[in-house]
Amino acid sequence: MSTPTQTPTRPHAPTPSAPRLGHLDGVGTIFSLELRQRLRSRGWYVMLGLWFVVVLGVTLAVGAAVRSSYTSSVDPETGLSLMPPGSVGAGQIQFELAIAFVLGFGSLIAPVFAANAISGDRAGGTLAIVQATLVTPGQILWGKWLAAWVASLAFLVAALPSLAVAAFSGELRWGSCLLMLLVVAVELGVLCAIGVGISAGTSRPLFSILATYLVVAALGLGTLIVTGVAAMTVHENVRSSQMEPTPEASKAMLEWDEKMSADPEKYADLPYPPEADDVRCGTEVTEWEAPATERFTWLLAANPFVVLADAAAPPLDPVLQDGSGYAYFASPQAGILGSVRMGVRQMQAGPQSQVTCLEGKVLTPPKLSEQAPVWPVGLGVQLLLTAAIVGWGRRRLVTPAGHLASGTRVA
Amino acid sequence: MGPAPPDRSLAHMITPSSGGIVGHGLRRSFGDVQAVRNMEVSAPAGQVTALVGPNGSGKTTLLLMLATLLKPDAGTITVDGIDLAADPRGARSRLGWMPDTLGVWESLTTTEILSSVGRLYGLGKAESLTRAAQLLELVRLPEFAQRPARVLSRGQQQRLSLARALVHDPSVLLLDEPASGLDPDSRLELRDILRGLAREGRAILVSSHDLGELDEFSDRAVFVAAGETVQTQSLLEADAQERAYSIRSLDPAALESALDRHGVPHEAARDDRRAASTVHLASEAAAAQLLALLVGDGVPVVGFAPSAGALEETYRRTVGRLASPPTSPPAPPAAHTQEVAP
Repeated sequence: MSTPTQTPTRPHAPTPSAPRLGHLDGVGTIFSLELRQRLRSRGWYVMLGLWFVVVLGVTLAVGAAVRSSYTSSVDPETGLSLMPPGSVGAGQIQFELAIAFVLGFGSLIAPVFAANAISGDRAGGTLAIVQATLVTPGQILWGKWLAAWVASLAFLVAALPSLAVAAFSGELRWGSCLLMLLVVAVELGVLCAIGVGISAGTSRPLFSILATYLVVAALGLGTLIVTGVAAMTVHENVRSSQMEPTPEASKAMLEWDEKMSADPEKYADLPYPPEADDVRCGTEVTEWEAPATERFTWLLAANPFVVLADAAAPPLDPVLQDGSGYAYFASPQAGILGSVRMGVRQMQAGPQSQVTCLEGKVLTPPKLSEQAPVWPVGLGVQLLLTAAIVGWGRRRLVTPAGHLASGTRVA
Repeated sequence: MGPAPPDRSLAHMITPSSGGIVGHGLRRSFGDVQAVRNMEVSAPAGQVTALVGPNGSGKTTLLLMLATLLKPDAGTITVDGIDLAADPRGARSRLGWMPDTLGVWESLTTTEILSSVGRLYGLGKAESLTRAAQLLELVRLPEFAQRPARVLSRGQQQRLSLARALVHDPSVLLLDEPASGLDPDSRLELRDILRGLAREGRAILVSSHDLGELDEFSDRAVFVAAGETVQTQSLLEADAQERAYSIRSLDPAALESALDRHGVPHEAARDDRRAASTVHLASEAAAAQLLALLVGDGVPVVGFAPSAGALEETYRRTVGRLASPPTSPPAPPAAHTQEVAP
């Protein structure tokens, strides 16, 4: 057996006994590593260029279509709009459609970069090198997410000139438009976080991109499908009464009718008594089944477009809302997003709230401005989902790694 | 309590404060595959320790565990006295790891790669840049300071990888097959760099496939097979064991008759490109003695050297296929014999 050798002293200064990596330093280094690579990849710039052209084209096409449908609502002689005052104008519609397109396609592009962020490093052998340093899994996730989000915001910025085209037609509600941009930025951030979380948890880049697309599709389309299915299956009983003529009105109506039938020539000009129109809320209650929308609106709320509509659509002029609060679906007065918002808020209120007359009492359905906003619920659901996915992915990043899924490379 | 198994555990000899890395009783399985069964490994400061074993013996798994990337199912690892399980980050600050896969950020420059990794180890911005420049000088890549890593050749990328493992001045280096794919010049350079680093007092553990070069750069070796440590031996101990020597002479017949005369069993060397005889000698003293005898007999000896490196010899004995016994298959027919092989 050999004797232990003397440990020679090292001539250079030893490393400090407890080197520390500050949280922000770690996040910042990961962020700059990721962003530098992105900025140096030619493919990304090509995508940006293509994106700019496509969004511009869509905005112009949408603008032309909207304008042609609006010309019919203009009085040909005076040139004044025939729409009720406070209606949303053609430029606003154009902007809304364009930004909905930006959100839709942005949610296809943005998560791809996020989904490749960690699993790509894993496949390329650089993740293990980073994990062997002092950086924590949390720092890696934050840094990668920020880089992916900033990269996707570049797409939003590239779409701005096209959106500004809509400003040329005037009639833009500026506050609402800025809010829409903010909401799109936030939604892109959520989707990027989902992408990074999935990327952290999967080993093959292709699989993580696929899984991210599935989650994005679930949020964008799946919510619609599930809501439709729920509307067909989840029902509740709604009780309402009919408006019926008052006894006096019935009497007046009967008298008028008798006179008319007895001697039509003499009473031809007898006006219809106005009191015959009086109605009152009846006491007879009928029950019927309606979709219990207030129970599953939260699912629909998680849809990014619903969040956009509910949070950022321009507020409606109060004169547009009449007492019944019935939604104007796809009505030009409210605009696309505005109509979506009205519909969703009404769903949240539930079918029972639309009843105007019950057991002798006249009820007023809530006005749009009084209804609770739906977008906090939607954003909350999205954030819960994101937290779950990121938490799951984070476990795979922790080193020393414990249990590994089969077929995983550690390094 | 029975006697401690010989040569398997040096843990009791390397005290925690003496630096280096010690792994004791390590075990790790993936599903139902037991990659590491029971490994003991130690790499003391100031020496280059080679980790030698066939493919699938668990070397890379062991290195991953030592590098704090994989959690052992059982066992302990201490780095400079720090228990890895208790303080992985403290251990990480002292460990430099060079993986066998070339992980390279292709679009970043070499300086950016080195300084970024330096920053991830807690170095300041200016310090990391200085360090990057120093390391590029050390591994002889200063002209690539501003070039992206994708233009580097494979050997250059490996040198960059070594530089990256050194960026935070670690006291323990774990290198997974650092010489694979390197051309001869780069190998020699790597060897010089490693010996230099060891002289500075670092502990270096090198996993290697290359038996022929073990003697050139390592001070000791840990032999592993099938997930277990089979043998741990220093170079000096290996030199002292029984070894095969290959003797070449201008007159092979004279050589063989001289060996017969002195009663030394010999066989024709298995390498039939050059005529040589192989003898097994118990020690270096015996070798010196035999050489003196042969020269004294007037045999024109032109080559007298171990037929394999000392550590390679150990490998063959312990891990590799069993060496052939000294009684060999019949010698190739010489001009004067008419033997026919059975």
